[in-house]
Amino acid sequence: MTLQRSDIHRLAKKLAKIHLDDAECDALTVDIQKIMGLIEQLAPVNVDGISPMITPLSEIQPLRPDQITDGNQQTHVVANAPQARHGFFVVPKVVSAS
Amino acid sequence: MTDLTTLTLTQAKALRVRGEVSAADLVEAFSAAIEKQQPILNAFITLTLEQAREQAVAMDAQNKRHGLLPGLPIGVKDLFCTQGVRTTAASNILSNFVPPYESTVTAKLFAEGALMLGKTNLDEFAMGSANITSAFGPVKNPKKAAGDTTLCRVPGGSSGGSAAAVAADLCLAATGTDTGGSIRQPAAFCGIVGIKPTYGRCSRYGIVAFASSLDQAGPMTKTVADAALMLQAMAGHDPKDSTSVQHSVPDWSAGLGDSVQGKVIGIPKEYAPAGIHPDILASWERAKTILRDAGCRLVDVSLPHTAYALPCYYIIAPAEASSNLARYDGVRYGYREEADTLEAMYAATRSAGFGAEVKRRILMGTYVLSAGYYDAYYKHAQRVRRLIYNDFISVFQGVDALLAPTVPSSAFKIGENQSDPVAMYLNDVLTVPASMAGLPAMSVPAGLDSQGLPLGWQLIGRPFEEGPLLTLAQRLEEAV
Repeated sequence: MTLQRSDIHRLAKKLAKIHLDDAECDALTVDIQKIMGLIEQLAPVNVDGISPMITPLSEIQPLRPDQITDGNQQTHVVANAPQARHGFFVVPKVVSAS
Repeated sequence: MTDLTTLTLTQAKALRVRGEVSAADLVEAFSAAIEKQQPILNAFITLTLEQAREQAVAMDAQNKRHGLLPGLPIGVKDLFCTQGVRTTAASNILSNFVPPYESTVTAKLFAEGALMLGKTNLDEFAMGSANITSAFGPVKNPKKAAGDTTLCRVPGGSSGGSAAAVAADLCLAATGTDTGGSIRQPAAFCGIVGIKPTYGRCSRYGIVAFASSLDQAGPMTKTVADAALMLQAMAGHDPKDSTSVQHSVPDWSAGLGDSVQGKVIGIPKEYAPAGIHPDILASWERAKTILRDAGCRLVDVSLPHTAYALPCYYIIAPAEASSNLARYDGVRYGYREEADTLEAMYAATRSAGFGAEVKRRILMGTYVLSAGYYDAYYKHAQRVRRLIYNDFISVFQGVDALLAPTVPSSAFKIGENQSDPVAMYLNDVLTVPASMAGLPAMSVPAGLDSQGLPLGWQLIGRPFEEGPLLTLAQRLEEAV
């Protein structure tokens, strides 16, 4: 399976939400095809009966008590926001008049 | 008076405890060194010298000399969130981010008395092996090869700023993080000590996330004793990180003098991949002799899935990264590129904010997680990851630790390996396997290669057995 330029464009736009200009898309296509060559090396490995490993931790982590330990951090939460008003994050309008 | 900047962390601590040097004197000495070297090396992204000076003066006024790191100046990789101090992850997308909270590891270091001189440079979001993907410019390795007329070599990455700063005596020690080799590889390239502890040993709370099942913090220091001391201050359970473990933290410094007589050291045959430099193989032989002379028994072992670790890593790490980096959307923090619609704002922000390597990894990760490819790539890689892990666990039934080189070459020149991302990824071929298995692994200076550049020996241990690794590392260090 080789990723084509059109695949990269679609991944970037639809899933990764990154705008790519033409030159960037060309360069990324070349690079990603090389990286695909690397990761395709895994394909022949026989993994029958092997369960996926999602973490290196071998023990079950204990849960902490379900208690509220902080809160009232609104000022901190919005302190780094590119745009905030009345303690809320402000984004471009998401509803249209039509 | 001796140059305070050339002290080890352990030596400086002894002077501080005895009251023979003030915290302010230490900060002044390092400030002067940084002011001279920073324009050349670019090891720091943000300096906090004034803050360190004020804290040192206050500490001296109260004659505070307790804690594991009493008034000792360190560098902090700019991936650790520091309250009130800009934290960039070397990315334009976080270039204006000032965390309202402190990472657990830095909070613990400060509670033990450490003073932060600044935030060290790194590859953007810790993605790289040469510190050339930083939005704040590359870092120079303070070490030169025999034929180099100027400083022109990479310090390794991603913790390249930390490694360069420690090697150039710009701080006593520095924090690093390691996802696939980001502590060990730069430590080897700069000729210092770096340890990635067992996954779960140090809290990840407040560390800008790259690949959550792999990321782990660790110290980068001038000596093995320094690494033991600093790791002591960094490790421990944290209720804020569900993947930090509840194991007690041993006194690693106290165990350094333990005998290594009779220890069984495995020599993994797969760690001499094609293309490895002959100097590296010669250096490996030297380490074997040192440990044999120290009374260890060496046995040849095989980790048959080693060759699959790098491709496996380049599925799992980008997959986790693409998910973690979805948070940078221009809404809650970080850079925003204005646009008319919300969707266009996301795409424009992420396009302008992320560099090329980060985009490559996000796209790779997005692809291997996407419908129709998830099982073939991501889930398959997770199964291969277990085979890699099983190899180690099976070998560790017969050996106490593994000895291998850290890197397949010494530090290359800035600009080399840049045209092909896979050529750059190959730098991590010897460090990635232990990361996949979550094992403790460290790099110890191995002396110089035929060009006069530092090399590293890598020790890999059983889960939570950092102590025996540090003890073995000190035997190697003593013999160099």
